[in-house]
Amino acid sequence: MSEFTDAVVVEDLETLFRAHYGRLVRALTLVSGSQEAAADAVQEAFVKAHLHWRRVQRYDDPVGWIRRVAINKLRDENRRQGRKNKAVERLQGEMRSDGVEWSDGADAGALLAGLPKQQRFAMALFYVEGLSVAEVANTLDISEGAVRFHLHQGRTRLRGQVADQKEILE
Amino acid sequence: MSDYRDPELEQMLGRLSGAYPDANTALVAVTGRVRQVKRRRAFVASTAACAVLFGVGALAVRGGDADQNVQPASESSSESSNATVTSVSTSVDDASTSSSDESTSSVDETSSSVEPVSSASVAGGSGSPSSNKGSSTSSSSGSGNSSGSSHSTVTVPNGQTTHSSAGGSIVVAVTNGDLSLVSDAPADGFTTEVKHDRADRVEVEFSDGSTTWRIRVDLVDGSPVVEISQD
Repeated sequence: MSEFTDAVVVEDLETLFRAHYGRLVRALTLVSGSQEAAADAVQEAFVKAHLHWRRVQRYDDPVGWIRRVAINKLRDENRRQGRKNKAVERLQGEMRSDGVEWSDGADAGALLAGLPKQQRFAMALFYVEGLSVAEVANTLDISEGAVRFHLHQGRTRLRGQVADQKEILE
Repeated sequence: MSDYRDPELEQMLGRLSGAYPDANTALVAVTGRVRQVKRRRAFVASTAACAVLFGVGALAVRGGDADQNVQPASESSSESSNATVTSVSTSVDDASTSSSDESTSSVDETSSSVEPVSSASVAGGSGSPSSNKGSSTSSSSGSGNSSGSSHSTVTVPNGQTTHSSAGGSIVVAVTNGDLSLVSDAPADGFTTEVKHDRADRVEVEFSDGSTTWRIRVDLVDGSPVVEISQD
């Protein structure tokens, strides 16, 4: 792209941004439990894409690159938050199985928080962002078989737990 | 893949993932962050460029001073007789100015020498002032009947000035309007003879038997006027 200008970058990125920002934020909200954290990670990824657009635009799947950057950013953030939470929990004398805090406190959210992180990512990208199994595998850098496994496991566990809750309520 | 599609689950997860965020607001935020990063990068780049320029400039100044300070004593001692350099130096505490010539000789001025003491001692022996903090240097190259002679006047704090010739150097001070000789330092092979040490005149001769260097400092209107000559 010899006539590369900043205006072109902005135009291209704006198109990508409008097409993918919302879905990506919602998917990552499901994983992190916080829309604020998810939005921050996605915005950070788009900033990086803007700064490296000359290189990123040549990739086969620029959106995939942006998605991976956002996920990595979120993982880093969760790790940092997890360490912080664990430290607080140690001080409070109570440990939890998962370091992720769910801001909305919904029951289904709590069920989802009980899933392994990789499973949550797979389910969020598949069910909320609407990616295919191959795209999820590519994003998470795992095999398609592993994605299918995570989807199957996640769905079974969620359905089972929701059914249990319903029985308890009835 | 359709095995995994589950509308009910999708609906539930969709509810959990919240409403669609405002893309316009987010876009403004992203644009702002990009601008911020670019500004930061530009600042870092310009700071680095300034640092490099400053370094190169400092090296150039150092190199220039080094060239000026290296004046072999043998060169200055081989000059012909009757070389006279006169300069008026005005010294104030912690600051100094020295300029103007009163005779036919030419005076080259330089400023902010890195090592003023060494520049004086190269030409005139080991007479160095007790302190060189905040000093400035003016080097005078005598011409007239001589060629290649080298003298210098170094002003140091407390109203003291060092005057150097090939035969040696002296340090004089102006205290409460009185001139006085603080110290003298003959060059190798020279002996010192203090001719005058008065409130208005200090005169010292350095002699090695065949050549005599005279440094005379007169107090004129509160300012020392220096005359360096060779017989």
